[in-house]
Amino acid sequence: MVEAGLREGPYPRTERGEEILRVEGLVKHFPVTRGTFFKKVAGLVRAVDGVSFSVREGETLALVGETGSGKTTVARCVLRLIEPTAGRIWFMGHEITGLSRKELRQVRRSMQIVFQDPYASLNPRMTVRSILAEPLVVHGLYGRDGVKRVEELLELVGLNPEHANRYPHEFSGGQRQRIGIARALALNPRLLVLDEPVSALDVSIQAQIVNLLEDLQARFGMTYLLIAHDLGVVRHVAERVAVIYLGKLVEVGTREQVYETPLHPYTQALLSAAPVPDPQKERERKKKRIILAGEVPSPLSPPPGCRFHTRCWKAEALCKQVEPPLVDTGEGHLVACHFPEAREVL
Amino acid sequence: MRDRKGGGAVPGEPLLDVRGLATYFWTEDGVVKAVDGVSFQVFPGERFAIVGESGSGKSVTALSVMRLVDRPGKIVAGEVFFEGRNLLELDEEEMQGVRGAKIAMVFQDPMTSLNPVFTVGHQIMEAILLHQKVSKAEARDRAIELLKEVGIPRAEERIDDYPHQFSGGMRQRAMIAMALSCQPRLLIADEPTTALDVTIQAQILELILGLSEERGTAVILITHDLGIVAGFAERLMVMYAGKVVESGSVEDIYYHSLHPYTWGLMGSLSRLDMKRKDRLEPIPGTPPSLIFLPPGCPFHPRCRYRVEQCRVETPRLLPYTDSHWVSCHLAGEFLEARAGKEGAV
Repeated sequence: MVEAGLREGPYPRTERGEEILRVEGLVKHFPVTRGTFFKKVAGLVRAVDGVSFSVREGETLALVGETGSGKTTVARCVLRLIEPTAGRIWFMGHEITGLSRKELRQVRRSMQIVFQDPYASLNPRMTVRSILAEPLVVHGLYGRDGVKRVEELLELVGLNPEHANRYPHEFSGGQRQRIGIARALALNPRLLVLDEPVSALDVSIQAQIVNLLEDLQARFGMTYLLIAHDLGVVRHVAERVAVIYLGKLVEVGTREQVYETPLHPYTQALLSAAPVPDPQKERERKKKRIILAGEVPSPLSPPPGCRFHTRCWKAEALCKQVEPPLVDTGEGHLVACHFPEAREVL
Repeated sequence: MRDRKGGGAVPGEPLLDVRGLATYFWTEDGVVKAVDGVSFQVFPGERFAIVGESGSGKSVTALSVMRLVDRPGKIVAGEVFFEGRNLLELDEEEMQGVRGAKIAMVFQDPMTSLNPVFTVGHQIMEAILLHQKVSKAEARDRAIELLKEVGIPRAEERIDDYPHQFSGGMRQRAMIAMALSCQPRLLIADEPTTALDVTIQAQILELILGLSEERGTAVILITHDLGIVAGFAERLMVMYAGKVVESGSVEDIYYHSLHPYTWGLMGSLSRLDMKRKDRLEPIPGTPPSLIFLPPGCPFHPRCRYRVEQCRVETPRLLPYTDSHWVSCHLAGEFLEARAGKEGAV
């Protein structure tokens, strides 16, 4: 029903399980400038520093990391909302790095984004109808069926189509996030980048949105790249998980691999630090909790060698000198550590 | 009294005894009943949590205890007994002797609660000099000591830094140092780790917990996160739409909850420590407007167990065991049903 009135995007559908997105050696450096008139580059924020991964059709890959880890920068580079400094990105077999703006527009029909803040990402002066119509109009797809399509979209995300003429402020946070999702769905995308889609919402509303996203994925076979810091939500939603620290991936694996047998000390520390809503369990976990010393170093001057060595309890001389590559330890479980060792922390 | 764990009969005098507190805000759209008849007690050295979603009234409850509610808000009813005195009857000068000195507060965003144009040390010293008769030099020594105690490395140098030179986690540590500077008996921490990353959150919670145990300071932790409460608090209360729906020991609430809203919160959680379940069970609908509260139980429009009584009569918070209080018409039935089930097993 939803596909009605919409032509296929520029790329033919591939089989589920085939690679839909491939990122290789992605680098994004932001220059830090000094001075007002004679701007001088005083340093580089190495937000993303050589990230490679791929996402298969129909799956959900979560990119997990703390503030400043570069996870959102990766997402924006994938959509080419910002230009990568280096690296290559393929979407459905076509390289999209280096495409012109016009060519990009075609690609963007098939990859859309849902933003974190449902308050900031909807134009307060536009009605919901015009917010949802905009992507269709931009791509010349509004036509005769446009009105129907907008109503369809609202129904799809669990909103009343009769509310199409209302403004964003008339909706609650959860409802606004539904509008953001409906907008992202308007063009029948194949890949949805979800940038912290529930972290601004209350717990009881979060669960509604998580269920909605899962229903939509089951129905349309969409692929999700989920950017998140909430390890509970990630375990529930993602089939594969990539952990990022200071602009580099430290571990990639299936949900089971990463949660049940994490190999990287940072992954172990993250999982160990996150609290669990069970008093008895928490009492036990607290005794074994890995509390990392210090804070995340500045991405302006990341530590040499392994970037995690300044906070790692296992660090040795080697870690300070040689950067560990991300290698497959078997069955697609990748880790970047000189001394990986599975450890149960949950 | 300090080693009292969890539930059981409550010994001794409460440090803080809040009775029937109501705080309303007069807005253009109408009167917002942010806090509407809230009662609870906190005992010396105890760690108590107030849990609720946005708009539940948890922060306004704390601000009311501190008497920091400004226009258009007003405390319209209730009593707040602290060490036997009703804080709502004190004049402003007397209240200033309580605020900071006896009850201190730490807020969510340490960047907005620290003054950016003064050094961290200056601000801690200010708090000390305001409430204690000490010289400037003594205050400075004391501030350095406090910064060390909250885990700021090289405290002798960092004391002269400005807030922007501190990271988020360090700013929160500095706020805690300031809050503890006058050895308060009660520390109110309003979402102290919400702005922080999970590895830093663990550090800060550990710090507050340790200081509370060492010094015997009672703590009220205000949060939306049921995970951090589980490892931190001994007792808690759950708020919804300005009212307390349930209160008890962490065991009462996490393992034997008797309120459908609490069940809904637990069912909504994506658990980090559990294999994926098929679907989350969210609470349908959205919280009510605090201006046009539904009649009867404020949760009834979203409650799947509601009966006719829930639409007309507001339930009172009543005890079901020594420590476990619930505000639900059906709590007695839930309790019986559970007893029946346990008896059958």
